Formats: sequence, structure tokens, C-alpha cells
Amino acid sequence: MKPAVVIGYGNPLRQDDAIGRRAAELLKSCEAEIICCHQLTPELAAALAGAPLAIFLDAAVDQHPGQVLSRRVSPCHSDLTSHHLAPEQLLDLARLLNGDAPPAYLITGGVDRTGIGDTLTPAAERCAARMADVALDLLSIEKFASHMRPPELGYSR
Amino acid sequence: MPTRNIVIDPVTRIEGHAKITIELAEDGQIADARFHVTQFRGFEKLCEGRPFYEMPSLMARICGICPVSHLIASSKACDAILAVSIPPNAARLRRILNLAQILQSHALSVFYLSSPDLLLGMEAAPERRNLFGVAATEPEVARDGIRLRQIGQQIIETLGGKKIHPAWVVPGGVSAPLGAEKRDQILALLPDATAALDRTLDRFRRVFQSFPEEMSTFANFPSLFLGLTDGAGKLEFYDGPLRIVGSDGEVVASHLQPADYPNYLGEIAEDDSFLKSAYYLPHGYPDGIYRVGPLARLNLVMSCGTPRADHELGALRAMAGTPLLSSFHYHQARLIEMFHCVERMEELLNAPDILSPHVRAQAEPNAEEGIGIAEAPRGTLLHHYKVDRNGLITWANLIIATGQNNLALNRGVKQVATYFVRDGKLSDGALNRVEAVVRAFDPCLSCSTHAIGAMPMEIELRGPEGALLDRRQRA
Repeated sequence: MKPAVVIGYGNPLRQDDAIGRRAAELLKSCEAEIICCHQLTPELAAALAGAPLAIFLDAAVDQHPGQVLSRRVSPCHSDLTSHHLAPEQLLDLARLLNGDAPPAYLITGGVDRTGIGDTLTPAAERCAARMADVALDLLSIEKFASHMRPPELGYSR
Repeated sequence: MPTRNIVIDPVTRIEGHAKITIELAEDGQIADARFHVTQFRGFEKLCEGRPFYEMPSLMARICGICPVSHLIASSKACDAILAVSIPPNAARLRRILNLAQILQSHALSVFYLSSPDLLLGMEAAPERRNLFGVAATEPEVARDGIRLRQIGQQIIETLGGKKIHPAWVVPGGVSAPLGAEKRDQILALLPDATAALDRTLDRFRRVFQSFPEEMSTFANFPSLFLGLTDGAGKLEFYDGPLRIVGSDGEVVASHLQPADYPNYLGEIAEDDSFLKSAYYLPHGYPDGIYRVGPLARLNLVMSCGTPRADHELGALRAMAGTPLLSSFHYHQARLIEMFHCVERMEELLNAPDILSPHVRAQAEPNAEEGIGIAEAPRGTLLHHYKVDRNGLITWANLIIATGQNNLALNRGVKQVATYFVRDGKLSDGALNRVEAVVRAFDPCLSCSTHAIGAMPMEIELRGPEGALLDRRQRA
């Protein structure tokens, strides 16, 4: 069975904007496919095919620095006006291409330092660790839930 | 005397930022049309004073779509400054990287940027004319397009360590040899690419037939065509002399050495665009108009040199003749080149010496000037540097593919506008076709990309006194 997919994204040359990538790196020992990238692009729709769960990790400049928020995200076809996709748009593309999109969560870490620089501030490092903890909880719940599900091929076998 | 302007700003689904001005005469007919590049990058100036060996990585930052092309042309210019002949296997590995990039970039152009026009129609609702619209209507085509781009990027990452801006190509060769495991990983991807291309060609062959008006009006005129050749009449993307053929297919110039380019290529800056226009010097400006890129490359050669690509090239020539004059055929040319890239990569990866550890020549700067050239996805790319005795850059000039297509782009925009914009009326289909002819060239104006399409757009029609006569807005 395909593992859950974790996508951490952001610009590693803009300081704390890379907090999502850092959080994803902290999960590399987990039973999940970990993807670190600059931004969400259509190619990632293929990675979501058949995944039981998707977790997106991103920086947020519109929330309190250090604050970690998690919310459920669903496929949504909104206006396409930028150079990259939002998680909802990527899920929608996955739905169109793969026939289905996995249940998904977006975990954001609040940041206020996004100037030029290739390292995270200490505060963002701590925040990235908390984001990884939240992701780990979601992965554990998903793993537990998958064991509780009836086998897909039915009991007759 | 033009009395009104139609301005398309920005042009959508292209790489970078541009606008189009259509000038209308008193009688409502098209007086002129211009393609303006509205962004300024300035890489030629900002690199002055930098050590020459930084140039490949620095220049790769010009673009997020074709960084490998800049990396290779820049490294070749630096090879010339070192005055070294790089090891044969280094050249082989650079070739593979370049082919992988052409594969992924062409996939972006065909599937992400132009397939909405081709599969959904030029008149389709703007909000549907994007990759999502294609995915909803023809998911298999969209899947194949995404997969082909992914395969190209995966090969770049396997070789260079990163999908975008790999630093593996360096002055003197490449920084590390290819291992057997990585070679096998790349080879394992190629059958998937071939299968996706088979399905794509099958689908698009029928699609192209449904655009006869576009075929006859999309920058369909005589011009010169320029590109690298292998000297034996086959496709070449990495090295070799340049060749120029005319619109009758006759060779105008051959065995042109890239290092002599100032003797046969001219460049001119216009007031209304940050993009320089290049022209063939002996024919003067603007008569020296020429095209580069997939269409030009296919017009320069007898054959591609690989079986599947040659089969498709034969079919295209049987349908459209030779040389191909309509820029609408850029789309077909891209698909044929994608086949060639896959076939050629397989050949190169199976070469006996592909795992050779000799991949870099070491030297100090031995020349004060270097010129490097390669075929980028969009056409011939040239980097020219001068250094001081310490190896610091004192001057740089870049001639990019889109600049070489600029005269043809402008003429193409006017041709389409003349045919499809009538009596000053702005139908959305006409508007989209004016943009679509630009997309056929796949101009790369910066590292920006509007791959998802449908950017906000507002077009105003104003009278001679500036009064607003008509306005259309795309949210």
C-alpha cells in the first residue's frame, strides 16, 4: 500500500519561508513519502495518486510568528492567477487526473523573517519541530485508522 | 496613421511578462502590431566583476524553465576561456542533461501552455482554457504531459542533483561522473516516456488537422532559419557549426563558427521592448529576419537521426511540405524533438564509455574571451564573455532564442491580428489567437512562468484623444 505523502514547500533562499521544508525533513524517518520543493506544481499530482493521506507544510506570514495551525483542505477549483498552486488546487488537479484525491491537511507555521538568507531563525527551527510533531500525530492517526479498515478485497478470501 | 490601440497586457501562458499592442487605422483595419517584453533582467551587467568560474551557476539563474541551457552555453564559454577541450564523456553527459531539459521544457510548452488552445479550442471559455480544463476534458493527455515533464525533470535531478538550477555542469566538463545505478534509473524511465509520446502523437495528429486557418496565418511567411547542425544533416543540440537555410530550403550559409557570430549576426534594440532583435547581418535589418527553435531545427536537417522521430518528421513533411513556413508547426516540431530526445538519451546512456570517470579538464584561464553555444528548447543560445587577467568578467553578451525570434514574433502577431481582428472588433477568440501565435514560439522572457494560465487581463480600446472606446476584462 502506498504510504502517506508529506510535502514541505518554500524558498530555501528566503530565510523562514523554508520552514515547511525543514519540518518535512524532520519527518524523513517516518513511513511516509517526504517531498521537499520550492512550490506546489502540477507534477506533484502524480505523487498523490493512491495516497491514503496528504500533508502540506508551509510558512504563513499572516499568522503569529511561531504559531502552528492545522486545517483540513479539500479539492477546490479556484481562480488560477499565480505562478504556483495552492494545496486545494493541487488536490483538485489530482482528483481530475487520478479520479480521486486523498484526505489532506495543511499545517502552517507563522513566520516574519523572509528576507534573503539560507538558514532558518532559531524561532523558526523550533516552530518547524512543532509542525513536524503535528504532522506526526496525523500520520499516526492515519496509520491506526488504516489498520481498523476492512481489507479492500473483502473477507471472502 | 494609426488612430487606436488595442493592448493585450499581460500575454498569458508564456514564460515571462509581455504585452501586445495592436494599432488600428481609421478604417478599423490593422495598421501594425507589436510584441513588447516589459521586464528588464540585466544579467549581462550584474555579472561584471564576478570570477568567470561563477558564471555557469550565476547565468543558470536567468531562468527556472531552461536553466540547463544557460548552464551549458555558459560552461562552454568558460571552456573557451580555459582553452581546454573537455573529455568526450563530459560532453556526452552534458548532452544528456540538455536533452532531458528539452524534453521537460517542450512538455511544458505543448501540454501546459498550448494544449488548452489545441484541445479545448481557441474559442473555449477563458476560465476553462488552462491545464485544469484539459485535465477535466482529456485526463489521459494531461497525465501524459505531466508525466513527460516529470521524467525530464527527474533525469535532470538524477544527473545534476537538482531539478532546477543544478550546478553539475562546470567549466571544463561536469563535476562528477555518472554511476551505473543512476544510469539504470534513467534508462528505466525512457520506455514510459516513449509510451506517453506514442499516445500523445496519436491524439495530436488528429487535433492539428482541425486548425487550417491557424496553420495558414500563424506567422506563416518566408524567413531564414538558423541552428546548430552535426555536419551530416542530422539534428544537433550541443555542438557543431551553425547553418542558415532560406524559405526555399536552400542553404544560405553553412559551417558558420559560433565564435565568428559578430560577423554574421546583428542585434538591435527597439524603443518599445526590453527584448533585443537579432538578424542575419548580410541581409540587414529587418530583411535578415530569421527563426530559431524546433521549427528551424527541423528545417535545417535532412533527418533527425533517430527512427521514431524520423518517422514522425516524414509524416509532417508529407502533410505540410518542406521547409515548414508556418509557425503553427512549432507544436508538431516540439513533439518530434521530444521523441528524438528520448531516443538519443537512450543511445548516449548505452555508449560504452558513459561511466568513464574522466569528466573534467582542469586549467587556469588561458584566454581573455570565450563564446559558448548550445541549442536551448526555444532555439540557439549564445553566451559571450570577456575577462581580465585575473579571470574577472569585464563584459558579457547573451543572445537568446526569443530575441532571435523577435522579428518573426512581431510579424506573426500582425499577421494573426490582420486576419482575426476585423473592423476593430475584439472577440475573445481573436484575442486568444493573437496570444496563441506568441505561444507557438514558446518565448522565454524570464524565469517566470504562467504555466497555469488565465492571468487577469484588461484590454482597452482608446481613441486618438485617449477616450475609452471599448474595454474587455478577464478576471
